[in-house]
Amino acid sequence: MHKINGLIILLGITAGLQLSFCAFAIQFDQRPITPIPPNPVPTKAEQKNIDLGRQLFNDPNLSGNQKTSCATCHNLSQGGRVPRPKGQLKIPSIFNSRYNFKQFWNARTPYLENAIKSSLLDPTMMGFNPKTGLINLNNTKKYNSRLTFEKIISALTAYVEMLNTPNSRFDRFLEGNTQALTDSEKKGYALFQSYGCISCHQGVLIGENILQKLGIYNDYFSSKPKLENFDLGYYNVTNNPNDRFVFKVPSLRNVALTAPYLHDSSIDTLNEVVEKMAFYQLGHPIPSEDIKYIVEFLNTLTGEIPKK
Amino acid sequence: MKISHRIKDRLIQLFMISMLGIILIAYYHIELSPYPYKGYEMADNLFKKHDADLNESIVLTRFGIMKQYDTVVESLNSLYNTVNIFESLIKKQPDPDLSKRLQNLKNIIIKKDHLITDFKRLNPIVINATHDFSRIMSQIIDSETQADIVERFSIQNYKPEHYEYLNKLNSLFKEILIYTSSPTEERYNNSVSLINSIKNDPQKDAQVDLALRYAQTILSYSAKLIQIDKAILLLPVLDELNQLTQYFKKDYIEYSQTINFYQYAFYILSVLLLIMVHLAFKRLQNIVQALDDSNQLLEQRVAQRTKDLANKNEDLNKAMVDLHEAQDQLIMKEKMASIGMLTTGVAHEIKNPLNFINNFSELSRSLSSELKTILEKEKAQFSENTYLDLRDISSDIESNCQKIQEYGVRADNIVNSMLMHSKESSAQKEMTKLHPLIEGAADLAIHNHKTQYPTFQVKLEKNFDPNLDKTFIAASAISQACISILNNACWALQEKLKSDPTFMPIIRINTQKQGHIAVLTFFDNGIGIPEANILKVFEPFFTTRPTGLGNTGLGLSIAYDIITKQHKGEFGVNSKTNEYTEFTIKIPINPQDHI
Repeated sequence: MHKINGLIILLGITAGLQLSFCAFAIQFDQRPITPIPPNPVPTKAEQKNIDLGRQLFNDPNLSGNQKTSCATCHNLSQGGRVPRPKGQLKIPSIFNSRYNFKQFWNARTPYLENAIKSSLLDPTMMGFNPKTGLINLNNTKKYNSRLTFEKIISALTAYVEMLNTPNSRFDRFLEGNTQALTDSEKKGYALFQSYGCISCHQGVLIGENILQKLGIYNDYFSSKPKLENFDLGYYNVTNNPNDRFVFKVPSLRNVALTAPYLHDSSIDTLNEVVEKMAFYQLGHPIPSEDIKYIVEFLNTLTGEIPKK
Repeated sequence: MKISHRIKDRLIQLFMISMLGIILIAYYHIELSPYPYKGYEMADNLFKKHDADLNESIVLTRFGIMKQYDTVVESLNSLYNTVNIFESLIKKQPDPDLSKRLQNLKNIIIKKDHLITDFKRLNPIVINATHDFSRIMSQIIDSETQADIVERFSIQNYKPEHYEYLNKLNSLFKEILIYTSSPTEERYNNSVSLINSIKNDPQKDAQVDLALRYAQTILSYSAKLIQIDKAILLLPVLDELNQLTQYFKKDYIEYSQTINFYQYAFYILSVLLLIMVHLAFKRLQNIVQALDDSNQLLEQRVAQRTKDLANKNEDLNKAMVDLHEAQDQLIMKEKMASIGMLTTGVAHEIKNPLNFINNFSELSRSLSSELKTILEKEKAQFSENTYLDLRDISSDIESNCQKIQEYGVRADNIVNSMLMHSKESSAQKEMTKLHPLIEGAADLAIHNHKTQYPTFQVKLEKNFDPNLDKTFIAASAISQACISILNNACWALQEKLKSDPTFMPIIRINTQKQGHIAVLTFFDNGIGIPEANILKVFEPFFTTRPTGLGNTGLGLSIAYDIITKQHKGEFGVNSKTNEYTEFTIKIPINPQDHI
């Protein structure tokens, strides 16, 4: 292992050695974007848990007001979330969340269980009270076994982990089917890379593995009439001034289904959001011709939506 | 102090059980309780691997060789998971030192995580800025150099300011690119001053503005990024890990030492226990052997005792039988003696009247014959009828007198026989040869019987002991006794012949010298004597034969007297109904002997 440290120093001195290093790094998938793997086949017991999770996911009894279910905000037929009015925090899609490196816009937890737990307990979301809520839930007699809070979390987690959208056209292209994309979509992908979008939006989910400040080259928030608490992003977690306006880079999977865009649901169309991203994050405008190609490419990222 | 066997056994038992307990505990420690931190080495290796992967992927992404951060995230997650493995190991057997060290490791990983978060944020910015900056700069320089070639031909258009401006752009391009990999303060200041001078240059256009902006971005982030890189790679992650594993190792050495101790204890105690079990088994074997032996001895003794007891019992029974016999004989003797005396007395008293009866009946008979002759002479004096009557009466008187005489003689015989009892010692005893005597008696008896029953045939078997010669006896008395016995035998055979004419009668006479005693046995296979009568045969007047014909019922009684009283011998009988009768006579051979 110490050898690698030595190598790193050498590499720091000359960029020319980088090429020779390539051979060393062959073990990693060097493609900037990799396809979503197919869902694992669950065992019988796991399937039981998943089924319970599905039932709970759609059960409004799981909320404080007995009216909201998980599916209320994470509508599977609307891209795994529902649109919010302009200026409100965008609901992140529930799809592929098992691959998220952290959960929520401000990346406050890395664990899906914790995200589900806090969504359940948060009074602004589900507002579930484990004491009274469990009694209510068990009184409905909809469930074969007696539920506990831990059971609920485990079942919901198991279910949500199955809510993935593999087999998008782009994935098929990545898997070697060159016919899966049209020429203009391929051109869009090339532009996506050359403009530097790929620097942040990469990996399996095309995003969702780094944090980034919104407004690198231009201040996004100066134009906002009123700064909301959620606009501070990662700062809310760390209280570090450097982390102001830092957000989790969202996944571009199924991006065509999840308008309006940005964390504050402020932008309605893909064209507009690409344009804005170029302005704030890349520091230079992208010609509308190219934006059109990029949007075409973004449209190929819609995968197979899981059934209810 | 002497310990009792029981307590000793108990102590040994207790000792063995406690030894077994210790062995089990040792076994538990050796086999069943594994090292609590088993697997720490694997976790250590995993940690090192993931850390190396993480560093590698950071380097790869840093230089844009790898464009995605999934591997960074994965490696970091794996590191956290490995820390969790350590944590779960320590949870099995909590140890504050270990926890502290693990906490240090955890803290350093969290630090690394934060640095990586920053790295991942800054790296795309720098990469994009560098990319865009070099793209724009090369575009500008390309177009300017092309313009330069055109302008070089029209020398009047030559502007030194423009040339200088292009030089500035060129050197900025160079400075910035070098700065990205080795940021020094000097280079930073150079670049800043270049940027400022270009900014203030009236010749700059929008493209250059953009490039300057990227240059500023690079200048502001690059140094930071490199700092972060350094910080990430210089974090003493492995040192912390080594400290942790050192502690684990130390713990493991202690553990294996105790295990070794238990192992030795286990082996030694096992061997000891085996030896003890062996000894106990041997002892048990001995005990079982001893038990077997004593059992056998006991059985032998019991058998011996039983045998002794049976012998004694037999002796006792024999003594009892002897006693009974002696008693019987005694009673018999007494009976005989009293009857003998009685009969002798009675005979003596009857003898005189009987003499009168016999003499006067004799006289009356002769008188009645005289009367008859007189009557014959004086026949004419009486009428015919009277004469006949008288004659008849005298005949009757004569015949009556004859009858009286006849029965008187018989009574006289009986009385004479009875008087024999008293005449016992009268006969003189002398040493006489027995065998001719017995032969004579036998001939006489059988012959006598044949005179009554001419068809009677008997097979006489004589087994005389040649050793037996002269015996001290009264010959006539013994002969009489023999005749009485043989008379009875002949009669018994005759009785049997009556019912079964095919029967073959046998009389067997044995003599034997048994020491100083002569033993005579008289055997016949006749009708035998019923058991009820067997004791009565020696009583006087007891008989089963019809009286008359010289039978007085006194024969055996007299023989008994002769043998037991006169000769001091023994006279016994043995019989089975319808099969045989055997009389045994035992007589001392010499006068000084006795039975």
